[in-house]
Amino acid sequence: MTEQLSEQAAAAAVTVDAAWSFTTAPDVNSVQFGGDPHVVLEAGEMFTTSDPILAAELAENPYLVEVESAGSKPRKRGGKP
Amino acid sequence: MTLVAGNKRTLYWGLQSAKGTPNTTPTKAFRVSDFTPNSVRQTLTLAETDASTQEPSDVVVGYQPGFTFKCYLRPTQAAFLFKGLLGTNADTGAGPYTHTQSASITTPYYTMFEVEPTVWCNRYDDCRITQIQLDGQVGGVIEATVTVEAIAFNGGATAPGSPVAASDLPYVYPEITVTRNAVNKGTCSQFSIVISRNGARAQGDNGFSSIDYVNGLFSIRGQLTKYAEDDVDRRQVDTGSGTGTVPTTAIYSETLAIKATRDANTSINIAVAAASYPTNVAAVDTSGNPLAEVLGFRSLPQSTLAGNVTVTVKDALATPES
Repeated sequence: MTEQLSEQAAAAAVTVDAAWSFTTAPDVNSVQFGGDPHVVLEAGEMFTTSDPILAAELAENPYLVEVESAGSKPRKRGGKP
Repeated sequence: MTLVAGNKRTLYWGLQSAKGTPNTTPTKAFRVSDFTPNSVRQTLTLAETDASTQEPSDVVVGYQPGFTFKCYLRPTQAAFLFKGLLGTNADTGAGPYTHTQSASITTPYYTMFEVEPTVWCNRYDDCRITQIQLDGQVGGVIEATVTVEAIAFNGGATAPGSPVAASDLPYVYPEITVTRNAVNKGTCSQFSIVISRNGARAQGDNGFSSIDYVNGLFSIRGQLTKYAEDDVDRRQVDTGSGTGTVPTTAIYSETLAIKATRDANTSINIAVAAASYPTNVAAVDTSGNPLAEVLGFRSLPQSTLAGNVTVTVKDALATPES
């Protein structure tokens, strides 16, 4: 599922202004978030999204590390919108 | 004709990968003490004349399946319930596992089978947990009242054969600690906390079913009953400070943690970042029982939604759905 999501996100990244990638912190077994789709990231796994609202939410999660971004960035972790 | 006992209702839950994709292999089964479904179909009685003076017809104008159920809060089910309500979950450790949960705008969807064994099975698809109320008081068991909204309803479904309903003993009040501003005085005799998404169904010109249930204002409200030992909690309500003497514009707030601990490996902690107390009622008790204060509280907004509340669950399960 995650591979499909990554492919979808990668495809979307071609046509949108920004994409953000997140990976799980090394001491975490897995992280789950979102509803449709419900995303499950195993340790060290990467997730890419071009949804700025989702990216901003993920940036607040201490168990996810933003590893790459293009275009405008989501708000900083713990910061205000 | 075979009649059955009334104490067999069981709810089977499966996490969906996406909305519109039911999961027919549930991984959790709940015993319940109450189950109250909404009216699956929204109906109207027409308001028009009838030459023969009869009451007008009914029409169906929408499908709005949903339900509320009550259950005891069990260690093996706490992480499941609060992940569904809050949305974000991170698993760490390796027996015990720690599930750290925080609120996010979007939350997962579930498939729920309401099973009355040998009698009926109703399947609710695209369920979102929209509110959880926890109640506990001295001498009692911790109870959860869970509100769920669904998008699709299927009667006459095939009842799942597994899993077995959880049988671990629920949390009881002696396992509770209420910690305010990092201090647990042990004087709290009752608590109630309601975490709600306050969302709404989005209904459009897409037929009878809702498009979605959309989470709305995230809120935490509740009350604590504690024995009165000084005037701090009254002065913070009336003046904005525990040591205040005149009213000010300050809103007092403090960290609030309600924790149930079975042992070092089994617990649930609900940590509210900033709880304020708008009300304090200390009624005269002519029976001579110890003077008690009832504090109403609410959670104040934080810089991020995720920072509003953190629920930390320790159990022996690798994931909340295990």
